[in-house]
Amino acid sequence: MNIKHETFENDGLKGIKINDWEIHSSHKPILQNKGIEEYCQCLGFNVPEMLFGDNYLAVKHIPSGFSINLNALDALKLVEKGDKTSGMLKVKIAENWTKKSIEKNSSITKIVNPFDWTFSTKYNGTLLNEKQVKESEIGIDYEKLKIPEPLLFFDQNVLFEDDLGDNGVSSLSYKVRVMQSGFFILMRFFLRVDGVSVRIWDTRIYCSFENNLLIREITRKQSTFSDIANRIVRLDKDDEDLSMLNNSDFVNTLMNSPEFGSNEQILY
Amino acid sequence: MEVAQVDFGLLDEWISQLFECKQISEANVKKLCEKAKEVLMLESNVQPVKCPVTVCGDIHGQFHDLAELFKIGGNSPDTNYLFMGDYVDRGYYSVETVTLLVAMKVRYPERITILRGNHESRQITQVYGFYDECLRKYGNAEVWKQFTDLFDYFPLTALIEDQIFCLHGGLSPSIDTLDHIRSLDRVQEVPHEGPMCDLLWSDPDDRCGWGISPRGAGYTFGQDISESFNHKNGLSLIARAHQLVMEGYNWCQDKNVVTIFSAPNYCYRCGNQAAIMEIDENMKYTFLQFDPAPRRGEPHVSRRTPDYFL
Repeated sequence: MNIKHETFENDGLKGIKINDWEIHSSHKPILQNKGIEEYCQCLGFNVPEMLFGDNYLAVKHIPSGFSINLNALDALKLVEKGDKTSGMLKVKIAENWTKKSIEKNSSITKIVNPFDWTFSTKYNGTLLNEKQVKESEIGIDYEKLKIPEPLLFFDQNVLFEDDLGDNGVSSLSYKVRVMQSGFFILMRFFLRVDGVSVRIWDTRIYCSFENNLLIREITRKQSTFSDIANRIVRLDKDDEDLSMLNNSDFVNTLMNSPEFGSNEQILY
Repeated sequence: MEVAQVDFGLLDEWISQLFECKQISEANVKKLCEKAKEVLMLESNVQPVKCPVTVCGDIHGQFHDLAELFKIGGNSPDTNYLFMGDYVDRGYYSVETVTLLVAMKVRYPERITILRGNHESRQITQVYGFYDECLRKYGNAEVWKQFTDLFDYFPLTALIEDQIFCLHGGLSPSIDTLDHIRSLDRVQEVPHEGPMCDLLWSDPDDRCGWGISPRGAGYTFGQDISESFNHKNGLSLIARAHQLVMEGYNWCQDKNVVTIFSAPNYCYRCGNQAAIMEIDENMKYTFLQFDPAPRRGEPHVSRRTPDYFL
C-alpha cells in the first residue's frame, strides 16, 4: 500500500494532503495588544502571557466536511472563572503571603477578577460536522504506532503558555505525525505549580487509514510537586537543579497513573 | 578588607571577550564579582541617574539580542544605560549576558546602572535555567553562587533626574515615598513578601486600587495608585519591565506607567518586538523598537526533530 500524499509549507502554514484528509498547522507570533484585548473581553480574564492566538491545527476530512481544530481561544473558554475558583490551587507561598498581607495591609482583600489562574482546561479539540461521539471499547492501537514507519509529516506547536508569574508553567501544545497507515495527534495541557502540584492532561487522536476508525483518548494525571521532585536523582543535596521539570515529556514519566481516562470513537 | 585587583586593561579584555559571546574563567568571575560588590554596595536603593540615558527592560540571557541592543542604542560608554533587571534565565546565554553587564558596570560605574529583577535570585534561577547553564558551562555551581551572592547588592530602583522612577516590577502598598525605599535593607535574597518583594514582582492592572492576584500572592495596582504615587513624589513617570509586551513597550494607566521589554522573540519563539527608551538631555523620550539579531548557530526552537511520540 503506497498512498499518494503532498506536503506544503509557506508563511508559517504547513501541512499535508493525504487520502481524503487535509492537515494544516499554523505558526504565528503571539497576539498583538489589540488581539489580546479582544480575547480578554471575550473570556473575561487576563489571558496567558504567551498567547499564540493565530496558531492552530486543522484536520479536515474533505468528503464529509468533518474537521478537528485545536486552538487557544476554544481551549481558554473552558477555563473556570468567578467565585467557584476561590478554593482552587494557590501558589506555594500563598498561605504565608496572605497572612503577612493581612498584617501589613489589612485593607487590601480584593482578589482581582477571580478565575482559574492556572488556565487548566479540559479542552479536547473543536469538532465540526461530526456524526456522533460515543464511548469506545477499542482504544488507540499503540503497537501499530510503535512501528517506525517513515514520517510523511511531523509538527509541534504551542497554543498558549504562561509562567504563572514565575511560579511554574501552564501550557497547551500539540504534536502531530502522519504515516502511510494513519495520523496521530497529541494535545497536552501541562501545569506545574512550583512546590505545589503538577498536571498533565492529554488528548490523543488516532485515525487509521486502514479502517478509517477515529479514536480519541483522554487521560488526566495529577501528582504533588514533591512526589515528582523526589523522583528526580539529585546532583547535590543543597542545590537543586529543577530545570528538567520544564520538560513535560520527562515529567510525564514521573507522574502517578491517570486519575481519569476514557476512549471515544468519533464518527464522521 | 582586601580590595580585588582588577585594572581597566583586564576589564577591557574581559569585555571584548564577552562581546564575542565567550565566557571568562571561573577565577575571573570571582574577581569580577568581588570588585562589583564594592561598586554596587555604595549605590542607593533609589540610585540617582542623570540624562541622557537609555532605559532597557528584560534581557533573559538572549545575548545576541543584547549585542543588537547596543548596536541600536549606541555603544557603551558613549551611551549611558539603565537596565531594569532580569538578565538571566530562559535564554541560552545567561552567563555571558550577566557577566558582560557586570563587567561594564565595574568598568564604567557612572555610565551604566543595573537594577535587580525578580530573576536575580537564588530560588528563581534554580528553576528557570541560570543554575543549569552555570553547571553546564563551568562544571560546577561556583559561578552561579558568585553571581547570586552579588545579586543581593543590586539596587532595587533608580531615579532619573528626580522625575522618572525606574524599577523591575511595580509599586508596593507598604511604600508611599521614595525615602521609604531608601531605608530598606536590600542586601538579601528577594523575600517572598513585603516591600522589597513587591517592587520586583507587582504588576499594573486596569482595575482601580490595590488588588491581590488570584494566584494567592502578589499585588496589582490601579491607575489611582500610580497617579497618587507620582504626584506625592513629584514624578512624571514610572518605567518598569517584568511583563512581555508584543510591541516592546506599552503605555498604561493614562501614561503614568510604561512597560519596557527588551528581549525580542522572547524564548526564541514569541515573535515579539523589543524596545528601549532613549531619554535625551532635555528629558524627551523616544522609543526604539528592534527585531531579533540574526541567529548564528543558535538552536532553532521551532524546528525540532520529528519524533515517534506516543
